[in-house]
Amino acid sequence: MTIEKRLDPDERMDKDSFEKLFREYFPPLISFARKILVDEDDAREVVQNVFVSLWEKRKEIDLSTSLKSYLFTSVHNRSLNVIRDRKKFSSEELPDKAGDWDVSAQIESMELEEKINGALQALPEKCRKIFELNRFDGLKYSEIAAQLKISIKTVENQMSKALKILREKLLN
Amino acid sequence: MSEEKQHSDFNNLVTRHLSGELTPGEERRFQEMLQQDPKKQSRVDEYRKIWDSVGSAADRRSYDLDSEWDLMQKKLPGIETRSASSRSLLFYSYRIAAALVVGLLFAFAWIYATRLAGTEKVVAENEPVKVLLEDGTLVMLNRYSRIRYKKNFSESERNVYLAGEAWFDVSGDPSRPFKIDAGSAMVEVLGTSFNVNAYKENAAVEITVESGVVALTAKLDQQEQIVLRAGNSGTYNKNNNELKLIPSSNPNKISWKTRELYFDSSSLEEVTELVNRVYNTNLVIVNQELASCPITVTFRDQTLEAVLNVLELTLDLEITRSGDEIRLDGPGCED
Repeated sequence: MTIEKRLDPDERMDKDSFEKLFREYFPPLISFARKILVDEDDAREVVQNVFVSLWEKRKEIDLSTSLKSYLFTSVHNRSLNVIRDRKKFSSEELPDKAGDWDVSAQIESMELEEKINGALQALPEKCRKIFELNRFDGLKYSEIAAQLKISIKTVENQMSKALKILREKLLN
Repeated sequence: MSEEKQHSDFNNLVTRHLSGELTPGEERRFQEMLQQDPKKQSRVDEYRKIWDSVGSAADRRSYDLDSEWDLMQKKLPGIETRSASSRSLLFYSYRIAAALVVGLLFAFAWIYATRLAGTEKVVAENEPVKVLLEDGTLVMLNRYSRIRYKKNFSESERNVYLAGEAWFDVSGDPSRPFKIDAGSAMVEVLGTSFNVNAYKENAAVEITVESGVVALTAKLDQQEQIVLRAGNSGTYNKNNNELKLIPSSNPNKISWKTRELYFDSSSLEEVTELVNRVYNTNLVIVNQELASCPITVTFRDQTLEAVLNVLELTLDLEITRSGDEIRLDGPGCED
């Protein structure tokens, strides 16, 4: 997956390229918004509105800057607006985590996550299965061992193998 | 021990540490080892960064991009082919046809999209709002509160999410329990009327039952449950996870809805607090000697002016307004 995505200024953004952008950026953007706003519906609305405004401004937007930082910055600003509006009519009705949200750190972590997804696909099948059962499904080693009918020792070894491979892949 | 073996043992230890699989004793020895060896510590930090990022990568996978894209398109102005205004029937029949062709996966995405789209959210800002749910349940939502629910309840349950405070008159349906997710506590009923106060800033979630039977459960420990009957109140204390039954409820708990306020030798401080809550006002006691003055009175659906008049005459108050503040001053009372 390419990281530095710019739109060619001469090329009008059409619906297909917009959809591609949406599919690529929606997950990292909504998880960023959720970190700030906590509430998933609010986060979804913020991200959707950012895309609506991108769509509306598709002809005049300054495409010489990275689209990625434009998107993250917009989500950041709009999320803070939501928090400000919440405070207008209630002090603590909804949870939020307003604070210092570093947009560039967020972009960095998105890039890292993209690499991780790629690296995960490179793990041997059994190894990846065990790792995902633990990390994504939250199963304990003993539960994984029981489910796959293998020893706990094997789970330990496969887990540590997975992490070792991920580290090697990601440090290069 | 060979270097390679040592190395792989260390990796094993780090992985188990990150997954929380070390016993307390192992964890302690592991931390001691790190303190003595900064190189190992930085290796662990490196692993932790990868570990955490994998976690947030997992978080993202849970989005169904097909249905998110469908939701997105509804909001885009002037998009060709499937515009927001002409979607309805044509759109869904198109989706169904696609589902038949593409198969189960697509069908699932469609169900998911409709389900997402069927979520209703009602927010009460400065005034309470009345909401009628599709099963006939009446909800009176207090100020600064909101509820979220599926437009069509499922066949086995009726689920509502509440932030803030609301009064419920649940329509009877023994086959579909009505469940309220109030943040830290769960309330389950079959058919009854009651009040749930679950403002985030309060230390406790408080239920007041007007009729019927209500079960209150802590989310942390779902084994424990208290059953409340008409006239009872129940609280769940978020700080010590305690469920408590209060046999006789205070009618003022639902004054915001009934607009009936009962005071029996109550202090002016209690009176102003409740009036502020019910009338969304900002009464301020200027002379603190007034705060403890006792008042016995009942207000039934009175205007704010009428309430203030009674207070003024009873305690010989001087009432002035400045901005949104209503200031109560006076010499105080003998007791």
